[in-house]
Amino acid sequence: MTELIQKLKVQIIKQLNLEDVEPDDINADAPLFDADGELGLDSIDALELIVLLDKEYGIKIKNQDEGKQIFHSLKTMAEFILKQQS
Amino acid sequence: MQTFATTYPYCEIKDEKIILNGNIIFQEEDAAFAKFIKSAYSHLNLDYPKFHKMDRLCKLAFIAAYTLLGENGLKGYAPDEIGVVMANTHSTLHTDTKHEESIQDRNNYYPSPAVFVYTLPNIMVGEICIKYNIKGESVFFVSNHFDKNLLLEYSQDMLQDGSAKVCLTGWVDYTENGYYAVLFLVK
Repeated sequence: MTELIQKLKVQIIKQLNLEDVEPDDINADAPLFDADGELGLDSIDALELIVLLDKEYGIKIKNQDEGKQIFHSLKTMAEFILKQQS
Repeated sequence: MQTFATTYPYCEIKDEKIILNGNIIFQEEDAAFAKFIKSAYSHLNLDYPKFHKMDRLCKLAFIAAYTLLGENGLKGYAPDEIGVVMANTHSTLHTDTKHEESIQDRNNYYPSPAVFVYTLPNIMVGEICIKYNIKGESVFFVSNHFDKNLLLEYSQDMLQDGSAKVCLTGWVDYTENGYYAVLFLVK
């Protein structure tokens, strides 16, 4: 799980074009879409995360409500990926 | 590069330096743009997560605007009393190229929404308007060269015809080969 979270940090930085951000700047438990959060992601970034899961892990998100839970934090994303791969 | 003498408050960013009303307030010699602009963000004690998602052109414009305006530089004006007049030569060429590269391979075709949104130069105006809650008239020109007088006259016309009471005006241009920004507060 720790390894996957670290990998996701690097992938998210690349996918979202966050050239100022280092992997260690991202807290795995922090909400990704909190307006006052460290990344302050928005709906455009949600699309990017959907693309990332499809491109890198072959996982497609079809249900919007499911997406909200999956993309709550890096940790929830990692848990979802592991569940899909098991 | 020309240096400005103007009666309006202004911020200029060039050659790894930020200049406010003629005085260098920050510099980081021989720094690549990404490092320079990140250091400038820290120097200004900014806490604005959206900054990290901006493309380089928007970061340049945002730092110039923030240096000039701080948090409260437009306080006292209603949102629709603030105009924005900006221009550059290369539009969003740097990000356009990045987007174009992402759609080159028909078999691995993943255009990035986060890149694509920065492929219009008026996004630069938009980012500044979001930060300062500006809802007045705005215009963005793409032109061969920086005509300071044209931009200032356009802004003054906006003030005279009542379209705005204050106008953020200037030039912000970025390519891989160089960058330059100057913003004036015309009032």
